[in-house]
Amino acid sequence: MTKGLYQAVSSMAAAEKRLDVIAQNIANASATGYKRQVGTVNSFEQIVNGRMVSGQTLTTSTDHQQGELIETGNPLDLAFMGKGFFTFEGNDGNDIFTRDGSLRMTAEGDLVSAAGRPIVWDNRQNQLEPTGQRIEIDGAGYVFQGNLEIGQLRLVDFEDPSKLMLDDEGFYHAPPSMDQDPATGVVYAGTYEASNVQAVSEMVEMILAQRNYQSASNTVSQIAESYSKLTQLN
Amino acid sequence: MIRALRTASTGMQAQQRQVETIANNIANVNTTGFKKNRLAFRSLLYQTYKAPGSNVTKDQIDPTGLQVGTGAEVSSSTKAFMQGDLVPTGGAFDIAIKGEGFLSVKGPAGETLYTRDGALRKDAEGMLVTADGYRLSDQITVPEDALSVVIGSDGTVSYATANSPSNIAGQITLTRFANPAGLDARGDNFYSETASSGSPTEESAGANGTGTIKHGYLERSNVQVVDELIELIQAQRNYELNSRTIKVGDEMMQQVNQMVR
Repeated sequence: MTKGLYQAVSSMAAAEKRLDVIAQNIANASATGYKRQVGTVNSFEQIVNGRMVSGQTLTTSTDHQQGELIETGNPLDLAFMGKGFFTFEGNDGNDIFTRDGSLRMTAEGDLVSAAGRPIVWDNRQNQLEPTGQRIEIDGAGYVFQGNLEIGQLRLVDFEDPSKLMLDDEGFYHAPPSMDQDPATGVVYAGTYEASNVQAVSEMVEMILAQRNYQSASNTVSQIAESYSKLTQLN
Repeated sequence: MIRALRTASTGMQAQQRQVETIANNIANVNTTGFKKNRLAFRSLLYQTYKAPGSNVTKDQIDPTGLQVGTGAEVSSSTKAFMQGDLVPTGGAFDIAIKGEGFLSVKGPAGETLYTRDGALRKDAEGMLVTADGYRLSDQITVPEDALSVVIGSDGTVSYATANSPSNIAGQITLTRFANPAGLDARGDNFYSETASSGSPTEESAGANGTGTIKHGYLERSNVQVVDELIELIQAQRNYELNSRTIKVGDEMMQQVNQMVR
């Protein structure tokens, strides 16, 4: 009977976490380049110290489906149509990746993220001139200022992007075992990618999480009642 | 459970900022030379409960992990410098810029400010000033005996007097920035340079894409009311959805309280 109790409590904990994931998706429905997180409830059965333990856990993964591109008119707002990631410099010097290509130019002529993180170039021949002409970025990530070619931004892709890990700031990190491929998507300057969160599917998820929680908590109540009956037997 | 509630409240705060921005855009739909604001949002910290690729047993690896984010925040606010419509006004000193350039003026503290609002007039000394009375950096004086003033597409200000049909008072130059979206909006239609806008480049109108000057026209704001209304609806629905999350979280906590009778 205690086994059932633990099982029900573990599925309540999983449903709680699931609501946290849904809350995150809904809160980020307007975040640039945000990809919805999918919470999956898994059952497990394991033998620990000769006893069978079973229950439920939650795992998360990223749904990399394309978001809508929305025009801004700012030439430094970049968005991907298709597969690919923009590459920025991480704290440890490693490449980190994102779909949010809202760039800014510094006084030194470097391109950085909205939070000031420098973008990674594949091939940089010239420096941007902060006092210079209008900056243009083409579909393959080549940056031009006037007629001068500045270089190409590093645009990468992965065979299985679901293996990427999110860091504190929402950037993706690639484990060393993952190979970087060139991106196949096309960059559109003057646009941003909206999040791929769909209100309807989050609502459905939310109802499911709530009902799972209810049924698991009802199970706990039932078991608790049985216990009280048991102690009143004699 | 507390996590979901706080996450939803960050989402609601972000949408509130969005509504404020839209309200400001709509309020300025008739402001000369106004450029609409756009907010960008990003996700807050992610908490990793279990990293993907961690060991389940000694030789079994879990391909997925458990990472839960903690909400959303406003990451930046930028001006969209798309061209506004030019409307004829017939004003004697009204000018509109067709292109990327800005007029450069001297602010009250002697600092240089930039504007797209070309509703100019003459001050007591005959100098061309903005509607707020700030003088153009080019310091152009139109004498009192000028009968008619013409401002050419290259910014040349010329006037006719009773004695001579054509005199040149000066030339209005335009200023260009490599990244206008990085300018600091100072209110009253004025901008000032920042590290991210790049330094100002002064050029004569028509050169290097600075744009040409149209005399007798004003640039309207580039706010499209329909677009703003759509964004307003989206912001409101997102707000509702976040409040729905709070309600569900609350109901789940209630369920726990009723679990053991």
